[in-house]
Amino acid sequence: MRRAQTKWWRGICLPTGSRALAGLLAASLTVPPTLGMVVQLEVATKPDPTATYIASGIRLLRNRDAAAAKVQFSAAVRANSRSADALTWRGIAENQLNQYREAVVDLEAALRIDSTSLPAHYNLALSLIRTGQSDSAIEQLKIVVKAQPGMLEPEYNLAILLEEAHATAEAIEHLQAAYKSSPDDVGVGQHLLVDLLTMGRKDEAQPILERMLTITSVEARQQVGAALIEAGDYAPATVLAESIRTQSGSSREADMLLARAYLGAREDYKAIDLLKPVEKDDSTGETAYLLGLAYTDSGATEDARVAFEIAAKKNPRNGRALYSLGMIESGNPDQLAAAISHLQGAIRLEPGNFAYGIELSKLLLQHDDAREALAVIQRVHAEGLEAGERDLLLGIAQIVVNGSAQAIPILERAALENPSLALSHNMLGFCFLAQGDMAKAAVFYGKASDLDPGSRIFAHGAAVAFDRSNDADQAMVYATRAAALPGANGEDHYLLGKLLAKTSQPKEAIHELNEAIALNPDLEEAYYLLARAYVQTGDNAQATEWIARLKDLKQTHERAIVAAKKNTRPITSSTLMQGAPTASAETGRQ
Amino acid sequence: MAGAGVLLQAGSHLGVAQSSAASTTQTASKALGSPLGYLVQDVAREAHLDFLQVCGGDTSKKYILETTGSGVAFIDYDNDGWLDIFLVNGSSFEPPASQDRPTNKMFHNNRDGTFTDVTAKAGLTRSGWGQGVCIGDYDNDGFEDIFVTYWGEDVLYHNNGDGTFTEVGRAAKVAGEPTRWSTGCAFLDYDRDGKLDLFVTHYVNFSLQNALDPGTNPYCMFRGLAVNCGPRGLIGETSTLYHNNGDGTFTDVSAKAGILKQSGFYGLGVLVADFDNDGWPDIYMASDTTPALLFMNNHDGTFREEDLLRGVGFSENGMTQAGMGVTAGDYDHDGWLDIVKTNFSDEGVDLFHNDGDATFTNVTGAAGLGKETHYVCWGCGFFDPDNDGNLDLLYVSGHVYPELERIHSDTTYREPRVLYRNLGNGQFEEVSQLAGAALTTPSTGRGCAFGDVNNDGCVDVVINNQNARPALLKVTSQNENHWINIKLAGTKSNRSAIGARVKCVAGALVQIDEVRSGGSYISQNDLRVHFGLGSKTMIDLLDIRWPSGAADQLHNIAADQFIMVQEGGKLTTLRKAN
Repeated sequence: MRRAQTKWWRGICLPTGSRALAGLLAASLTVPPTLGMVVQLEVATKPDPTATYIASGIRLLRNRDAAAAKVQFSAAVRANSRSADALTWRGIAENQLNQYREAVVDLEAALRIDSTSLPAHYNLALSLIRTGQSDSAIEQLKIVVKAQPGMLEPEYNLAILLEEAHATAEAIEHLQAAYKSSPDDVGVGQHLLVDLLTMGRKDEAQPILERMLTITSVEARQQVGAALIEAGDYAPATVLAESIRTQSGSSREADMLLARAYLGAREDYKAIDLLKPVEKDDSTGETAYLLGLAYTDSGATEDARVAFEIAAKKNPRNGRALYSLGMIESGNPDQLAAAISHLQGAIRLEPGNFAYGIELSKLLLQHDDAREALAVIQRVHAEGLEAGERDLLLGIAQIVVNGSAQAIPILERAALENPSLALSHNMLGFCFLAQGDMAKAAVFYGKASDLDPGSRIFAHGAAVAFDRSNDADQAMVYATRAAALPGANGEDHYLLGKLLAKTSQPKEAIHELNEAIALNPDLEEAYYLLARAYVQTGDNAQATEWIARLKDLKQTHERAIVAAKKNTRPITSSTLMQGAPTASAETGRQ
Repeated sequence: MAGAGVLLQAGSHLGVAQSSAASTTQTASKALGSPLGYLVQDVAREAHLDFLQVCGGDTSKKYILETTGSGVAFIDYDNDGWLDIFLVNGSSFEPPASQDRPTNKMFHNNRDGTFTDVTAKAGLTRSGWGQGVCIGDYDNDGFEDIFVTYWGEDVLYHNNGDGTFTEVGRAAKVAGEPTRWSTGCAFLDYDRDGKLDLFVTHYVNFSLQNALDPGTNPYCMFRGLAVNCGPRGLIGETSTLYHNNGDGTFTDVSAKAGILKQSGFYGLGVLVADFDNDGWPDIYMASDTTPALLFMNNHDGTFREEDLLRGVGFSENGMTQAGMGVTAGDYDHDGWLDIVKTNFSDEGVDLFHNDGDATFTNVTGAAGLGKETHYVCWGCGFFDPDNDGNLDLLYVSGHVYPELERIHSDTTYREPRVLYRNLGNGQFEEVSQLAGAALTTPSTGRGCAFGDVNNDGCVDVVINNQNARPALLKVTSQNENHWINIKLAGTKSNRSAIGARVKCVAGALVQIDEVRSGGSYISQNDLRVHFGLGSKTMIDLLDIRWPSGAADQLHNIAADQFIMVQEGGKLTTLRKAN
């Protein structure tokens, strides 16, 4: 969930479109008793040079000459190095000059002299934010709100910082305090509404939403609606957006907001009905883009494609439109080239977008262009779990392009980054199998199957690998699993039969092998092992019979076998994307 | 004995060989990665083996005939107790660069690590598309004769006993058809009448007039590359069994013996051994891209073919494989001869464990022989280079498509040799790297033969590389293990003692082997039987079962010597280690 865009202003964080610097200074200069800063503008019976310099500096600040103001404040500090006010004001000037480190020094010095100075704490919080010390900034604001609870700006700014630190519950407390004193403040209301909905406190959010509906400023209500949408609270966003449209009539902004709310609430047809009539008039392409999303969700793929195409044409710099267009096209083999081109375009526009690079890489791998996929995926930067997916695709590309040996360290990294990605382990198993290390292959194949026990191909691979590493017991576990899964095929029953035969259970083996042949009458190896199993039971007549059938079958398969052998190709990335093939009948060499 | 054959017994295991349970031998398991205990060096150049095998083009091969290479034989043709080397040569469709056409060569062992080319002197000069070779004293005159297979007429060289040979193929009626392609061969006394008969297999029905160009059809493509056609898609063949009439001639008894029942295959390596321990030789034959064949001797002059029933026809999973070289040995000391067959790339080799009574289980993976699957493998042999009493395995490799180099695939034309060490527990460890450059240097290996060429007590290997010079891998011991080398001489049995079964018991170490003609890939090993004895310095028992049915037991034989045992039990010490 993304937070509403919060604009950091000079001074302390202010809601977008809310207070200006002049307001902050005015608040400071008027010396509200709540902040506790007293500035004596009237000169006392005896002129105090420090105060004179400070007053002069304040006037310069008012005239937006922070540099000159700082000179005055520095003079004040020289006149009285123990003046907390002078240091505080100099800190304020330094903040305005973006000299945040110097501001921290001065404001901390002020607090050493007067630890109760709320302006010093307050402005120090800004400096700390700017120097990346959010936690310390939070501590400073907490001091301020503790001393002056319910003050709008400190409570609000503290809440924003807490939201950023994912301390949503605590943020709500301060937003509620600010809302109590300023219920009409849109920024406060917006953040409080979103946070309450995030925490599932719908009952508390409802009255705030209702109050939002009464706000006269359409712009403000739209801002709140946008915030709700970005936070994923589509139901209240829909209510708000509909009210805006009802009360203020249709406008592009209102229509777009409502459409986005409908999309989020999966009311695709409402979104389509809303957007379709106005799409032609929107030269930005945004309407077409939203229309594309609506069509996609409703399953009207071709309509979606057309809409995205329009959006991209109207705004060639719309990376999202290009991406969406590419993804639609990727489902049609005839549009593969176009899909790749559009995804590449999206990446050029938004090179930092991890998802674009990942999807393009997947597409390229699925269509056996591993070299290009390798080039794309190497440029994708990701962290955490996403890095695991990135490295998995990189590993698959490496297997095809450079061989399994080079892919192993990459896939090991993928498995560490995202241990839940079963395919990473499966690919590692494949690589170790190709290297001839059956024991390691078995471990990784087994892990893949354990992570995704519903995958037949993973279970089958594990069984084959354990069989080849001479661990019949483990092989049996996975072979049994594979054979019991929905979609189990002749190969699975054949493998189980083979293992049963190996472990001297010929009757059970015969049953499984017969099952294998019933599922796949062309499975030569099952015929062979069935004959061998009958030999094991002493039934030479049956053995001979199955050998005769095997010979007939081989003759039937003659041409196909030769063609397959003669045209053996190295492993393809599209095959690997489904899971490593470890056909129990063949070495499965890469 | 009844001619119905031996029934397969219920309860034969399909499972992993119970080698440790069945074994009557306690041999210590080797530690993985431990030193080999011997040195391997290619000394062909120093040995003056001046020979260049020719087999069609070296950078491209238009026809399959140019891919099979040739065999090699260890033979003591002059009975001086030192192995000589006979290298078979092929030919080319291109005119030779020099006046001299390529010819087979006989190299006489000078006993000092060098050899002398005596081809012309011996009367063995012959050019043609030479394929395989096998050795046997077919006329029991005490001198080993040579049979060479060809694309074309086969050749039988009668050893005149004076260092010369006379070609008698046609006279002996074993020359075969002038258009036929013979490959593997073996002398054997299949009817135990004391005379060596001859088994020859054939590859494909090939003629230049009908030969298709590379890429003509799917059978002429490999990984998208146009290559020479076959063998699939070409007309397959049968095998031929010649019965020795005892008068210098042979009779083709293929049909009568039941050999002709099997047709349409592509025969290569031939291995004769008594797989069911009934005293009668059986025949196992590798067949390229069709099931291998196992002819079980019915004891009445006929054979029955039971490869599929006995589990040696296909891969472990019932898939057809190539099938080129073959070797037999009791690698797990259970008293039954096991089989190794070499295959094409992506197929690996096959180790068929004899579960007893000639039913087999493919234990390749379980035994650790499944590691190297990249190579096209040819000549092979069980042998004991470290004399620890456990049979190791070596095979040579080389692809058939030199055109591969052009497409930069992960398979190359020249390939290394592969050596597996027997760990003594039913498992093997690949130790090619430990053996060094003699093994790892890529080459185009085809036929290879095993024998102690310098009589130092270590078995060496000679390799006939296709379109290249041969390799002579000299094995030099670096350990204290002991050995025994036995030459058998039949009297009632065939003079070469081919088919004789020897059981060597030294303490808990019990080993078996046979005197064998043919084997490997269309090649011939030393007819002497060599046993490594580990730490044993004394053989408690040598039990010899002669092809005639006679048996001899000799006791308390000192190790580290070359002995001869004549049928009847007479033992002669030939020499100690060189």
